Amino acid sequence: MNLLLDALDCGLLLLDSEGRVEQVNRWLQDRCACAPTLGAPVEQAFGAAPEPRLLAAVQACLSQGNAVRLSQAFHPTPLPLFAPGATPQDERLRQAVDVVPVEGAQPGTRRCLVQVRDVSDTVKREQTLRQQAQQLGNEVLKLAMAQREIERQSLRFSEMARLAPVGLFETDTQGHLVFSNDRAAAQLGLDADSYLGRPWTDLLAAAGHTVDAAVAAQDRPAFECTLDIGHGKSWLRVEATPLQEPGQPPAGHLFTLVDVTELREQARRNEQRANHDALTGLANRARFEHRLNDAVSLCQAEGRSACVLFIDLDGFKGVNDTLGHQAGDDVLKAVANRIKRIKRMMRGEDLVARLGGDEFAVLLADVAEEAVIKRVAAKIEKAVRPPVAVAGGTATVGASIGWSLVGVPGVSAAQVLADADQAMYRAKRARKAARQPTPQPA
Amino acid sequence: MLELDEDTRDAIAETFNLALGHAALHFSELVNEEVELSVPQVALIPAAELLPRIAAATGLQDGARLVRMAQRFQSRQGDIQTQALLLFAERGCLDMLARLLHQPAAPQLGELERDALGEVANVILNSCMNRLAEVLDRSMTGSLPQIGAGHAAQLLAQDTAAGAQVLWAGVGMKLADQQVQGQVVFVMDMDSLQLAIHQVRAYFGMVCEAL
Repeated sequence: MNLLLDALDCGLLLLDSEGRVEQVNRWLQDRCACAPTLGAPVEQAFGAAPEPRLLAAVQACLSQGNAVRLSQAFHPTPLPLFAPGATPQDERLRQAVDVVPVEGAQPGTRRCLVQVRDVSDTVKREQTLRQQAQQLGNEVLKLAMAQREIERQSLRFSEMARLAPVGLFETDTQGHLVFSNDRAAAQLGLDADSYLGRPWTDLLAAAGHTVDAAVAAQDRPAFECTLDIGHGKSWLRVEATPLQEPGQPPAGHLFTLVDVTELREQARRNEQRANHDALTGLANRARFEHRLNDAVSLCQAEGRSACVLFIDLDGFKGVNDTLGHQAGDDVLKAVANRIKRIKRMMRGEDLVARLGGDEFAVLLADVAEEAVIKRVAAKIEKAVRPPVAVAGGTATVGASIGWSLVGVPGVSAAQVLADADQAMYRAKRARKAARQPTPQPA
Repeated sequence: MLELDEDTRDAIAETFNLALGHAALHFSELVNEEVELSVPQVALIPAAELLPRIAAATGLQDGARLVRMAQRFQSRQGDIQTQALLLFAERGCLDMLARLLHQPAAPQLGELERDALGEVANVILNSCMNRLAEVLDRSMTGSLPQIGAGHAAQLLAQDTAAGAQVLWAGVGMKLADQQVQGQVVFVMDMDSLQLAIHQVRAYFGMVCEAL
């Protein structure tokens, strides 16, 4: 019997009805710092006293027949037991203890069997498993948070793409379309999704713009193009940015499409305002002087000639004074139209400008012969002369014209204009003198 | 079919009150925390009604998991035998253990959780039985607790098949701010049950008919 008990892989302690040690198996002996004393009360048998809860359990077992379990969770070391070969200074074994009533040697008496299991390894294993589970849980939590962040970013991106005031599309490393927002499709006037997986240049070609191969090959293509997608011409600015993590090759490109039609129209209006006379629509003095400067440089460089005609209206002040400023404005507009429509002026190479007040100027390109110049001047005089219908009646003005050649070495644009101005004054004085009655000899 | 008159039921309820008072004291010492136990209801019910009764008392949903802690007790004379059960919803049980063991709640009952739960059941069921033993005027020898967990119907199949009637007590267990609803059930054969009721009535000085 003892052989069998000694072979067990757990401790057995048999206490008699008085709680004295009756039997101890080999397992328990091997783990006691000092061998349990047979016949001694359990509280004294192990050298160091067992936990009070174990003594209470033994008492309940013997007196009331209770079977009692002592968990290592609440009582890790009820008995002073150590790993075989260890000393009392070492850590005690973690124990799970069962206290079970058994029949006593005499009828009607009870004994108490204390069964001890070493759960040190189980506790360590469970702790390790728990730590691993905790780590795993933390990892899963991190992953879940990362997943949520990705979902959030994805949602954020799709909302931004939906609400963005510009068209967006994305390409892969091969330049193939992988995404486009609704606005891009609307700007291009086509179903952009049907171009997914195809080169982005196809998308623009389908909308009516062929992208230059050299532009398409750039790292950051940027250009403006005009499209006609059914609601009139529009201008689109296309710009691409590589999608690239720091230190990584680009994963593709993000393209933005901005409708710049309004901007272009605005710029055109600004340019018009800066260079044109608001009343007549002719070029203004700034533009005229700019073109004159260019002409002076060109003619002097290439040995060519041009001519500036300086025109001042005769009788304009009278119209203003008698018929009012509105009538004056009507006259200026009519004169501008008439000069503009002279056939020579329709070539596009010449420039008609209003310099201010009732002064006009004409730049005639590629002209040197005086006869030609005089012919043009005569046409202008003739065109200006007919009466103009104005508010409150008709008005008639004339034109005094002076001219000066462009391209004379050493003569600046300002000088050319001043010379033409002076010539005009000479002409005006000559006309006035011609209209005076010849003094008759007394 | 045995029935309990009001006086007998009161007497049994009082017996449980005293018994659980002891259990609360021991439990409190064990976990170093104030523990309140109470006996809201006591009833003698057909075994088949055990599951619905537990479900109603604990708010257990269909298919929910229970933890069953069982100890067998037998009088020295052998005339009273009972299987004493302590039942908790598994989720609440794991939360309670987490609190007692000062660690995060385990997803299921591991070896160490079963070990700890064994002692919790042992303290409560032994305390109950020690007090009952006085009332029954018997020395009751107990077995070690058996711990099981599973779906309620499956887990209780052996209990509902064992006896025609069971003595059921719904007991609330409160740890500081944590409320855990437990059930104490005694499953007895008819002879044991009749004798037990007789002994309770005799203990409280109620008129007893001869068995």
